[in-house]
Amino acid sequence: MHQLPDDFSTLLPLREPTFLILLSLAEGEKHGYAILKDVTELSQERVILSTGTLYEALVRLLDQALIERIDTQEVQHPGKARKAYRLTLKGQRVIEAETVRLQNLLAVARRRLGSEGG
Amino acid sequence: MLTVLLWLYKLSFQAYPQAFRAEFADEMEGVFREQLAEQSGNGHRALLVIGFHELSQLPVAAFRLRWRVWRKNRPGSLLIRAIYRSPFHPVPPAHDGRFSWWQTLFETAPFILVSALLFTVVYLQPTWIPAEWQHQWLDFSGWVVLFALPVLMVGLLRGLPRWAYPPGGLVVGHILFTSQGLFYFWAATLLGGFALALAAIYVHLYHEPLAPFLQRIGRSLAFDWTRLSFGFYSVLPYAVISAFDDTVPNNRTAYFALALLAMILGAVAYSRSQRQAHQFGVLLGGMTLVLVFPLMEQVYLQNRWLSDLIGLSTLWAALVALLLLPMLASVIYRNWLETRSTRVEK
Repeated sequence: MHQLPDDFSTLLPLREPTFLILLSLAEGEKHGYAILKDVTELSQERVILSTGTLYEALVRLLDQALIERIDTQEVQHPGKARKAYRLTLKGQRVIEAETVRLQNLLAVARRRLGSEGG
Repeated sequence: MLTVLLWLYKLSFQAYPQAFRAEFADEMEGVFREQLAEQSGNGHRALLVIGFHELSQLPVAAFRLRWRVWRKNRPGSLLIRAIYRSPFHPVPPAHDGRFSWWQTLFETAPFILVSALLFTVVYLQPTWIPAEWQHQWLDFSGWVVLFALPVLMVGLLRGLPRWAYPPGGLVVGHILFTSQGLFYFWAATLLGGFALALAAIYVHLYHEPLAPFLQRIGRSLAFDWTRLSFGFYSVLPYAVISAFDDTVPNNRTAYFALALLAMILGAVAYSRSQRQAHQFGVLLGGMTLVLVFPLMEQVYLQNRWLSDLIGLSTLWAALVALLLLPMLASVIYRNWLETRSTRVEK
């Protein structure tokens, strides 16, 4: 049985869109549109976020200090740098903890189903 | 098509909290434009799908954002601000001897005397008490007023110290409860009149020279708003009579006595409390207990307690409004004072 890397009991379990957003950012910093597309791809088009849902989730993750907002080199509006998001160390650990939690759950389910099946 | 969708999209931003809009609207619009640009080669239908998808998720996203803003701001800052602005704050000892037991006895005497009288009428039924009091309970309230009114008058002349409020409440209660059918009419009239009088006293206190005894009354009112609540709490004897009215006097249970006891204890606790929040709390608690006992009696006697529950709840709500009214007047007054001082500073 894996151990959870840290105590994130107040943050876990993550909702699927949240997990996918964090997973998307685990690869590296991304701007909003890239996250949107990545989430669709990661979920095999099961989770399609609207911009409202995406930014609501991003604001929550920013509040929880799981991600941070940074300026990129690109310019989106005159005089305004395009914003991107990246995982913080805390965010990294939360997604690891959630992955371990899911793994444990999966292991239990496999054992039970395997023993019942066999 | 693109222009219309973008216009609608920008319009939908109004659903989000203002701070969120200011921070993220441009960025979200950029993402939405990119989505549209990507799908523009696939015809109008593809664009409409994006638009509808956005619209369908808007209410939930907007609600979550607004909820978070509300939770972040309201419970902490607004509550604390309300406490600081409201009259719930420690008060200095009253100049009329708040901490003396004699003072407590004097302040609660109207409750004790009226309770003793009611107890005698209901349980002892002596011959020297008019027989009709046992059936038409409110008749005796005229006699109560006869004794309460002179005490109130003396209290007014002495600048309305705290002991003068319960006799005032007994007079008000008499007017409210003896006009049974017109209860709400009287309540509205009295409360309206009271609010106007209070406003007049508050305003003129600092502007025009009033008669010294009026100034003292004004100071007494401004010093501690719970005094007025205490005064309104004194309508409770009539509420007790009204609440137990349905029960046959000869079949009276101990609940009536318990209600009277709760009323007295509420008054004593008020007199001994040193913080306004506690004072208001014990008045509210005492009043609620007083109205719970008649309900318990109905349940005990296996009467139609459900209809009584509705009646008692209505009475309770009206009395809570009475208790809260002075606080409301005080908050309005403080805000007015603050506004005035801000204007003067400017």
